[in-house]
Amino acid sequence: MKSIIMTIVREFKLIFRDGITIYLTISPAVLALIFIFIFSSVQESDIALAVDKSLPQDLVAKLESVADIEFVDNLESLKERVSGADSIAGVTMQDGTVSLLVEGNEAQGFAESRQNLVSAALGTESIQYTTETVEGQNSLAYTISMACIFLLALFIGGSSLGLSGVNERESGVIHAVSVSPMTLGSYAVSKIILSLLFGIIGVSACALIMGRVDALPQFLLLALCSVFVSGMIIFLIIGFAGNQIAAVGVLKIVMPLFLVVGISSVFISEKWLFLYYAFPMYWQYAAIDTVISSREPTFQFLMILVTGFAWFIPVMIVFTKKVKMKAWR
Amino acid sequence: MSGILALGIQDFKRLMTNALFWVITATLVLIIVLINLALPKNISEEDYHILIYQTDHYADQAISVSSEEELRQKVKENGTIGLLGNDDGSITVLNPGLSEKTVHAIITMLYRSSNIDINIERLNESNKTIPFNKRMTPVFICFEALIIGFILGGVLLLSEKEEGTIRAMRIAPIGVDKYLISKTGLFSIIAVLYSFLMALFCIGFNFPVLSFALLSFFGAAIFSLIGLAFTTFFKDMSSWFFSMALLLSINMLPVVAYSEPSFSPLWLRVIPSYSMIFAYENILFGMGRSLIPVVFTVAGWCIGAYLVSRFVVGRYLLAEGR
Repeated sequence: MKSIIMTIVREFKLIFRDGITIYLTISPAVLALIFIFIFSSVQESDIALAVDKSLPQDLVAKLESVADIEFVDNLESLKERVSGADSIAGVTMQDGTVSLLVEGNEAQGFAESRQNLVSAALGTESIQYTTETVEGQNSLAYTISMACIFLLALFIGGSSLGLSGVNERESGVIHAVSVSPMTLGSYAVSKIILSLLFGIIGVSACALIMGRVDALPQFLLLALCSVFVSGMIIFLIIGFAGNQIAAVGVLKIVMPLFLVVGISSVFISEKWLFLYYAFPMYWQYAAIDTVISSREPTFQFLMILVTGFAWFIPVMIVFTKKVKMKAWR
Repeated sequence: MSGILALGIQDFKRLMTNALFWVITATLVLIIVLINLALPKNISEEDYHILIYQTDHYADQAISVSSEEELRQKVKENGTIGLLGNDDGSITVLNPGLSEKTVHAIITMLYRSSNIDINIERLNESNKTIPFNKRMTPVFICFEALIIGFILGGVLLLSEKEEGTIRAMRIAPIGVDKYLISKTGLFSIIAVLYSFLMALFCIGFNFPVLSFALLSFFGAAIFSLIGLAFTTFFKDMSSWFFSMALLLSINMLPVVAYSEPSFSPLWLRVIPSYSMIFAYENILFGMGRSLIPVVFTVAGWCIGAYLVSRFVVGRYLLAEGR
């Protein structure tokens, strides 16, 4: 027990030596903040139209009530603007007829929808109504983005310890550990406990940034139930990377694997979904989705533990073979 | 020149013997398979309905519900628009937080009193809707091939620090310019090959290769230079990797504008990858847009990145050695 605590303290000191790891642990929360800002920007954005000076002022005023208007001087400038990288339609008047300019490569239905809008806006008198905002369920894009952030927070916890282990492997410390009285179990526990701590800090920061303090206990449980997943990440990195450069290569494979597998289940037909049941990454995503939509995630938590453990054992076998560390002595 | 070449060859040899290089090669194959076989050619638009209760509007896309509670519940669940007819004959528009103008646009289209004839003029009749999977190619080029220099440069620089090569360089007759040019040149050539193979196997050969190669070369040079300056401040791979992932995630934000081209706020347009992703779309799919604004943007970023990188690497890496 004493050796485990000493190892944890040593790891803690090494990882926090440069101070930047503290920031990295909460960096997913910074990303969450950026994502939330983008989603609210997209939600609140207006339709944009470009108009030139040929359009009478009263018609421009009607269009201004339904869209953001960009003004240009003449037809040439209007064509140039419409040909820009973004999708924007131009409105001009030629021989007394209103024309809509589009580039021609926009999404299907873009020209027709803008034609309908301009036609309706120019031909309709003011309509009286009141508005009321109804806070709805989160969109799929929002749920996926937030799930990605939580998975990243958990991943950073595991991979930080994985990279520290690669450093030990490169410098020969791991060999010294393998011939010391410290067992494989103690070594694994010392790594996993610290990664759980990072994971807990990361998901807590994300939950706070998302304004989901009410779901904080469930997110903490998520981090705790991901104990074997963190273990898999740590020992896959140490097992397959003999040096720091190779570790970046391994991370380039492991990172998308642990972030994307669960999320990809959203795009899979239900009849094939059973194939995902064996992966803890799928249950992690399912648990996050359940917590975000304020449902009961106990089953998903249990499945993370069960499937995580089932994968953790072969990962540890591969690890012991790769670093020549004995499981029992 | 021979000094730059020797440094470049030395870096190339180190890369070839490293697992990371082969991981990148495998990623290229994976991307080609993903674009050609896994991604759909078309993505269906989500059905969007207007829900109504006690209103006199019965358009095709409107679905009538039986109570106000049901209306509110469905608006909440589906994030759609609900029209609620009040007892005094007025209408309340229930919406999931859309802007005032967007709500007004929807109501105007639903309650139009008359139609004005509007001609549609397409500026480029030859332009066609691009298949979804092919349209994703510029995304992978921008966020995988072009940033290769950022990753490889960082890895090599950190390993040079670890091995003590940087100390040797400080006393060798290698200036900061040679150091930057050799690394940036090598990574840019790799990026050109990487992006070209991606484009060739995903789009075909029907695009202007010279414009494509120049954009890839200088685009990759920007990220390599930024990467070298960024990595100078790190001592270990762990801190560097996750900080880099965060920075590159921010660089990926223009993919939102690429997926939804009607959404292009100014803050998104200042990110360097914004111009590049649309420039690749322009080159690969023959959109017929002028490339002059992209030339100025890329040149500006190249010069800026070189000056910053020259200062940072010269001052903090080759002079002091962090």
